[in-house]
Amino acid sequence: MPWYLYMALKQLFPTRRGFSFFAVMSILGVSLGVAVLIGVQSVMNGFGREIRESLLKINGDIRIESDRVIYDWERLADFVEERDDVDLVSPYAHGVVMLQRGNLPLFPSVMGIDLTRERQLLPVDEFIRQGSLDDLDDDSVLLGSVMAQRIGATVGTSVELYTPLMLDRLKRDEVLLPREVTVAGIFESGRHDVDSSTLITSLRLMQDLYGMEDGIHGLALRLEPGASLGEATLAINEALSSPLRAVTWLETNREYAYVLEFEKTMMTIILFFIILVASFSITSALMTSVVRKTREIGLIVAMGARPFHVAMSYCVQGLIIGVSGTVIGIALQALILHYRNEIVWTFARLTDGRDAMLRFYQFNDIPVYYSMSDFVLVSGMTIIICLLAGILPAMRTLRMKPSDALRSE
Amino acid sequence: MNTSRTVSAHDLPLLEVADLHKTFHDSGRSIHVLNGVNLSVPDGRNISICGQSGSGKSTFLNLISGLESHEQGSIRWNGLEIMGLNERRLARERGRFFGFIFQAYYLVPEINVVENVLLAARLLGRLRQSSRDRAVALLEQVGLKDRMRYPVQKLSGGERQRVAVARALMNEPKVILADEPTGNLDENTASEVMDLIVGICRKQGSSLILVTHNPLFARMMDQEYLLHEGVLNVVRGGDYDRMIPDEFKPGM
Repeated sequence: MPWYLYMALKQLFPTRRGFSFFAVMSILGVSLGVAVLIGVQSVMNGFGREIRESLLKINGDIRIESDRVIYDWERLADFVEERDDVDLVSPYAHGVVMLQRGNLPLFPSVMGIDLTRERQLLPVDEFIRQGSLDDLDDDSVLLGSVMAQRIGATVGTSVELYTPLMLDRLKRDEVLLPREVTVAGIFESGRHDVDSSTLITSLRLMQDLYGMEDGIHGLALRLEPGASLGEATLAINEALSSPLRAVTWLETNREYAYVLEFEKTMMTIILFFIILVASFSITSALMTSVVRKTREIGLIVAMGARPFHVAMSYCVQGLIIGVSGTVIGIALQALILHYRNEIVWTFARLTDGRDAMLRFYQFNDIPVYYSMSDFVLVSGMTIIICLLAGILPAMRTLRMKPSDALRSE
Repeated sequence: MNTSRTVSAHDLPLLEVADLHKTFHDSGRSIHVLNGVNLSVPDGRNISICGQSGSGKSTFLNLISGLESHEQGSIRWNGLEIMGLNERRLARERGRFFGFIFQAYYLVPEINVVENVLLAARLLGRLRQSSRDRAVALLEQVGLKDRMRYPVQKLSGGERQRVAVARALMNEPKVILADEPTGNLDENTASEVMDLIVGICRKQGSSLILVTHNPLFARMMDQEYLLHEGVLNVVRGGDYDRMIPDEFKPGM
């Protein structure tokens, strides 16, 4: 073993005590930084993944949309479905209605679906909490769970639907009565915004409500497994003529995806400061060590060591702290994330915040997804920062004249 | 009588200093510390250097060991001129040629007694099983074999200096430079340590260059020198003994 590595190890882990106070505190500081950073990134990845999956379940891979109502859509559906990379196609119509139960009005988004096709396209049945999808007909609706709770509706409850078409008729001195429908089921997608303001009807009912005859607003597509989302979208768009256009689920939810990525980046930058602060402590402690050991350094040079190797021993100390801190930090975060649900629910119980957390985060389990790139980035940056922390003290040793070092008081 | 003979490497002085000059510059002021110092130390010869505080004794030791650079003159280690050697070579040659003993011991507190002794071999990349045997043997000679696993902080001043002596001899150096090695010790311990240093250096075949204020210890050496006003004068043991004024002789 080179002597500078030996001295670095001995200064951090002295023969008798095993650990120096400086080594314990420095490694602990770096470990905490790494554990928090990778832990938070992994949870953020998990949330992002869950949200993406739920978006995908709700939206499908690609949507073909238009500014106008699309008539003769079966021909378009057949054309798209013939493509090798397209697995399934389902028509939909969407809009806003006023829903009233008693004197309680709500203004949910309404989504009219072709039940047979939609069931194949998206895991709609997974979302049903009460009632059955089989009971959905042209005189019934499915309510989001939060909305149903808000108006006190259960399966079989009657609600009235008012549509923009009624205003249009009113302008022509015609009166269109609200459509009375029953609640066939209650669904829960896991996304608060969807569950609190979405109504699902049959495509026929939605067409009636909006007076669209056989028209639709768009087609939802599911791609074959392994098909490229970007390439398929590009190819479909090339085949479509304006005002029809194909958009991916990512484009539809672009702002949402951007916010998720932005949050993760910001969190990473903020949490990196923990490691940076730890590195300042390392520099400060190593610098103190250099000053305290000035005469020892002088003697070591006198006994035949090269000043460059003395400097190396301080850089190596930073490196050892960085590597040890990273390894311990990764192990620590693995332990914390293994018990994450227990930790979070204990905290929620203590603060009476369980319901609020469930409502806000919509997940019973804290999702975690480990990304190798996060591990590489955090480990690499931590080790580099710790190495740099050792360079300043090392440079001080390089500037030392051994004769002055031996004379120093 | 003029006797001519062939000079072989064996006849070269172990350490030779010729016309050594050293000047420090401080705030535009020049301080001439050494003004043409000459010294020749044959193999196995022990010498002492005395002089007032600030006379440049430690600076002289730093210069002859290559820890400090000089402007003029020549320093040869076993015939090797050190001026112009690169830093790597200088460090390696110094580690082999010299052993150091200082007043304040300078032991490394993070490692135990035997590890401190072995550090000298480790620095030169000479750590072998034989080095361990030698370290143990040296510790036995300085009377610390039973404490070789002790942390150095638990040793007394005299014991620490014994460890420093063992460390200085670890690489079998030709010359031991001892700068006030007993300065931190009481009178009795100082005598014990000094006897040990002289005895062990003789046994190991190393020359000793001792810087001291103690005239008794200075007299233990084969030759005594006085550094005064930048010049090194022989006080005893040389041909010029009678030329030194009494007031500059140690103990006068």
